[in-house]
Amino acid sequence: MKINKNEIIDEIILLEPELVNDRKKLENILKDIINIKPNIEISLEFKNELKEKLF
Amino acid sequence: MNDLEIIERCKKWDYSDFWILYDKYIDKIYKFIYIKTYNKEVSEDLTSDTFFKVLNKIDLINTSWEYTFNSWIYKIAYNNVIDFYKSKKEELNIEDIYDIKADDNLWNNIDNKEKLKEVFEYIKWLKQEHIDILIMRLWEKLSYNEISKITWKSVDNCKKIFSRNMKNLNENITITLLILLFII
Repeated sequence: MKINKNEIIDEIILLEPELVNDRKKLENILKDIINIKPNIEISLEFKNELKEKLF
Repeated sequence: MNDLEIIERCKKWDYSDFWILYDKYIDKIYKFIYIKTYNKEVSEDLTSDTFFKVLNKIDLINTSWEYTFNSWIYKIAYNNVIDFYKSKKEELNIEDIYDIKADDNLWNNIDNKEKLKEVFEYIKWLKQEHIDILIMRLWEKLSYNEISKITWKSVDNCKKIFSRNMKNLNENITITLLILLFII
């Protein structure tokens, strides 16, 4: 599922109307938070071991 | 076959398609837990425990509810993390992130540490439960309905917390920029 930034910003402004002129800034903050999501990798060995234990 | 159809079959002791759910959620749940524990071994233990609980409690899922499997499995993972910290009787300080031990295979641990530091420098003045809501909404892409089920907060409350924190971030970033301008 893709995040719809505009929809999120609309929701924020609905609840915090004083931010109505800060759309661009909010968009940048959202973009920053989404972009800094760390790239976490799960070990394949762990995945396979757990699968074996479960099934 | 969707999640709820697989669960219906599991309830009838037919687990032949459970692996579909496993493959769909294992990475998401592990990453969700890792972000909250910053520790590979702990994350693996809590992820294993989450999936065993899912299997053991699958009878309890009411497939006619709006309560989707997605929010249900995240809720189990979320509670596992809370129980882990309760059992340790310590609050993980955000600074502890700097103490992640690099393990032998290193995968992307160093990058992760830097990235996680960056993230928490950015949002460290927020309450932990508020950070959780930001992460669930923006990183896990969960709906407010799902976040509400996971955190036991109303949908309206989740929306308010999210919006208020975005407002705070907006203000804090302005202050930081002003300070930078004065320094320069």
